[in-house]
Amino acid sequence: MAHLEIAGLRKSHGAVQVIAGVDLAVASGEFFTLLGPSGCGKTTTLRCIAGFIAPNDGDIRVDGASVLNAPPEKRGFGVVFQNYALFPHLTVAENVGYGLKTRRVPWEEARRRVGEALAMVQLFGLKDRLPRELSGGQQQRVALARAIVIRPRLLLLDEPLANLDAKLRHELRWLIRDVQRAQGTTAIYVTHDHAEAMALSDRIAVMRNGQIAQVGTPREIYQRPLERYVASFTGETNTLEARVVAEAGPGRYRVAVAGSELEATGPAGLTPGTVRHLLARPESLSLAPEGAAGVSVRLDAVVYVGAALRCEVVTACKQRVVLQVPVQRAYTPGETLSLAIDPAQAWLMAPGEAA
Amino acid sequence: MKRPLRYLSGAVLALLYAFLLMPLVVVALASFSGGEVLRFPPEGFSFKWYARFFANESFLSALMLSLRLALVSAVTVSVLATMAALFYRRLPYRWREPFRILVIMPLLLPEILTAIGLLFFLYRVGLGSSAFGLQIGHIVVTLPFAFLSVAAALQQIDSSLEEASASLGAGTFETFRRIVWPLIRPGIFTGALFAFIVSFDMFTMSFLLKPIGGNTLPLAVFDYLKYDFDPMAAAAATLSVGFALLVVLLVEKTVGLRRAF
Amino acid sequence: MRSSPWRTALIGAPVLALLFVFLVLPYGEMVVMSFRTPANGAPYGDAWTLANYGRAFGDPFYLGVLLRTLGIGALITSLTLLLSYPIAMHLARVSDRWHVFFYACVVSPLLVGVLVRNFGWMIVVSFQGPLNQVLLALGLINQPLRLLFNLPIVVVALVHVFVPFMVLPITNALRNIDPSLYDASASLGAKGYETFWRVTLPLSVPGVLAGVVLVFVLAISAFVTPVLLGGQNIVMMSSIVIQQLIGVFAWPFGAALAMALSIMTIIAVSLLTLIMRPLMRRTARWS
Ligand SMILES: Nc1ncnc2c1ncn2[C@@H]1O[C@H](COP(=O)(O)OP(=O)(O)OP(=O)(O)O)[C@@H](O)[C@H]1O
Ligand SMILES: [Mg+2]
Repeated sequence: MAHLEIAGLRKSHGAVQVIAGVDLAVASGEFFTLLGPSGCGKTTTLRCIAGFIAPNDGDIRVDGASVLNAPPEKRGFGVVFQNYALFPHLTVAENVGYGLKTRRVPWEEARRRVGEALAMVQLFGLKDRLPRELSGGQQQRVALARAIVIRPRLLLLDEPLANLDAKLRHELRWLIRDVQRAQGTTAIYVTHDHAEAMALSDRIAVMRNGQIAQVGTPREIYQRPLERYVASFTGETNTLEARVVAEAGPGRYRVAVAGSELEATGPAGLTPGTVRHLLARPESLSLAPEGAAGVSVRLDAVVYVGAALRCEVVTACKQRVVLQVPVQRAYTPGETLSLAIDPAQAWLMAPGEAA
Repeated sequence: MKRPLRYLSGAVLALLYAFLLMPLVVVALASFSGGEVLRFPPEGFSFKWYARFFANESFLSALMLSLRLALVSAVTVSVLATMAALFYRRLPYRWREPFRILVIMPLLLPEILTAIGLLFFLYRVGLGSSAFGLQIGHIVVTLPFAFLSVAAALQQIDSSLEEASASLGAGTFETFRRIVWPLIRPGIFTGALFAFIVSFDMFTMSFLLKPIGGNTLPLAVFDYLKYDFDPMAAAAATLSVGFALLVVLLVEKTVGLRRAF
Repeated sequence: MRSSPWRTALIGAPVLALLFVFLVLPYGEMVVMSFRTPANGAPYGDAWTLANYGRAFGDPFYLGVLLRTLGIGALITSLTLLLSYPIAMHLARVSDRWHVFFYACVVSPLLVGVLVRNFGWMIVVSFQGPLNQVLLALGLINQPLRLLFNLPIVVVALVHVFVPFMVLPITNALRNIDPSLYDASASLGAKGYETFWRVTLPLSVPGVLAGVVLVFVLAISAFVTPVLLGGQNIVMMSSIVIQQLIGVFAWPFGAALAMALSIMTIIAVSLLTLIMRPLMRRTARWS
């Protein structure tokens, strides 16, 4: 249980800036996720925190004290590796007990704590097996138990579920969350799976090219992304070009989209005439017969996906929008419809590239 | 594959393997001969040539010298090779390949050239024809074998294992003792075995650097063969074949032949 | 992993020191020696000269031996490659159950000293050895052949010594080929030999090159085998060098001859690497 601050962190490999100035503050007991595409520097950031590599610049403070001068073995952080990194010549119990041995914890207590940790990750009766005699999911549980048994100040996890199949991934996701809650440990979790990040995290930092693009709760990141990059990285998005016409209240605007006018929310202080990108998540959209309020669109394609119909529509300005509608009504491609957007969920963000 | 073709390729392979093994089998068979001359098929079966070998003063002292050289080489070289392999792993990337090439140089360079260079050098520093000089020569030539073996074992260890150990509170030395050492032990052992056998059989280096009055077993066999051609040399040679088979067996049991070569 | 540079340097120091003093300096000493003048009563004189090289490359006898050695080396290397490739192919795909046996067949000769293996050949081809006995029994000859002390037996014995050195790198290269490439090739309509020619062979080039270089270098510097099996009839460079060093005690000239051998080796190996370069570059992309 500790809080973490990262200030001005920089790391280059040769000429390549892998981390280009990262600032973060993680509260005690928080489950904090670094989310971003492959190669954006998540692992590097985590390894700097763990002490496996030294940053070129910046500071990492835990409970207010810099840890940069401490070697990894003195930092007392639990690390869960993507490839598990279980010691192949040690049994499950010996692997889990390793960190207690290095701390010279008395044998009796160590045995008890290993048992507790294994129970916590729901592994029973396997303590004398070697890692190679375990399934992937079991190995991952051992890795987690090994990291938490030392009651780490920080729990660092680098894509711990990436090597598992979808079902196990779901199961272990909740296990990690439960264990972290039960211990009250501060956790830094690295992933490029946005669903995982949303489900697990108290807060998420979306990274881009070695920098933080946005930090916020899952809800903020999903509904109120500052830019298109963040939106496109956290789920399916439609972006429509929008021009602010007038302010309709605090943080609410009337905007012109593809020849129609509608209402949307946005950050405060947008002046009329500003061009922004309107974020419309598929679930905030609905289709109505031609003539109803909304943007006039032509239906381009309809696909039956089980729970819903997935429709692709095109606006008068040739912008393509994807949405899901209930299966009750039949649609024929080519017909003209009216696209309605829930004003509370329509969000104006800064223009920019998608991920 | 069509059937006749498969028989043909099978026959070719059988011939090739026979070619590989024939001289060794022939030496071994000859050493158990009961007759007085080397002839095939051997006359009868006996251990008498082994008995004569072990009764022969010069062969015996040569055997002792060879064993001593091989043992010292194996021990020294496994320590050096382990340090070298650990060093290699910690070097910055661009220095690794040059260092590796330097260490395996004695394997890439003809033994005879290394021996000649050492001959001159040892003479120059006043160690010519000394037992120490010969031992040095054996260590230099056997080092690459042990290094390759330990480095291969070390390469199998994912660096995240060391990181995991550090994150769990183990310092550099403790990580080495608890994680790295148990995992590379088979590699070190294999390396030591190779060093032993290579040193035991080394000829050219010993030929050029041998101390006055000291003969290694291969040199003794060589001298013997120049004048005599009887099964006693075969008995001496079969010892070497036996060592080799023992090594093959041990290596297979510890790291597996396929990984070691 | 981070670690203090001092500790790292400390680990490397003994090996670097050993190799510098007992490998780098001796080779330097050999170069120096080759420019020394001969002297009476001592291995070498104090003055410097180029005459040793003049004699090594100028005297038709020594030049002849040098060229002959290179020729024999090339012959041995080609034969070794020819015999090794099938073994390597077999070894690369032998089933797990049998691999110990076949690996042992290849590796044990490697671990038995050259001298022992030469001795084995001496027995095989001796008057009352198995080869003559078989030929006599088959009625192909009337009296035992004298098979020792000629070029063929030296070549056969050396090829035997070098086969494992060639087999192992080729096997490793072959084992690194993704087996699905064979299936892919077959699915595209290639017959067995076409797949071999277009996929297997090119992808094994790195292993072949490694083996060829190693065997060539070892072959031209072979010493025991030519002396033991070739006797006075087969004179190769190494025996001449040793003769100068130990027999005649002419160290500077011996050093120059050794240098001549090294120089020719380096030239030959560089040429070979240069020729193989285009092929290597392609396979590097795949491996
Ligand atoms: N040792 C290194 N030398 C050079 N470049 C490196 C090194 N380690 C990482 N990089 C580069 O740094 C960048 C960030 O790497 P990092 O491993 O942090 O990415 P990541 O966000 O974890 O990606 P992934 O999701 O694929 O794991 C990458 O572009 C990578 O190529
Ligand atoms: Mg990563």
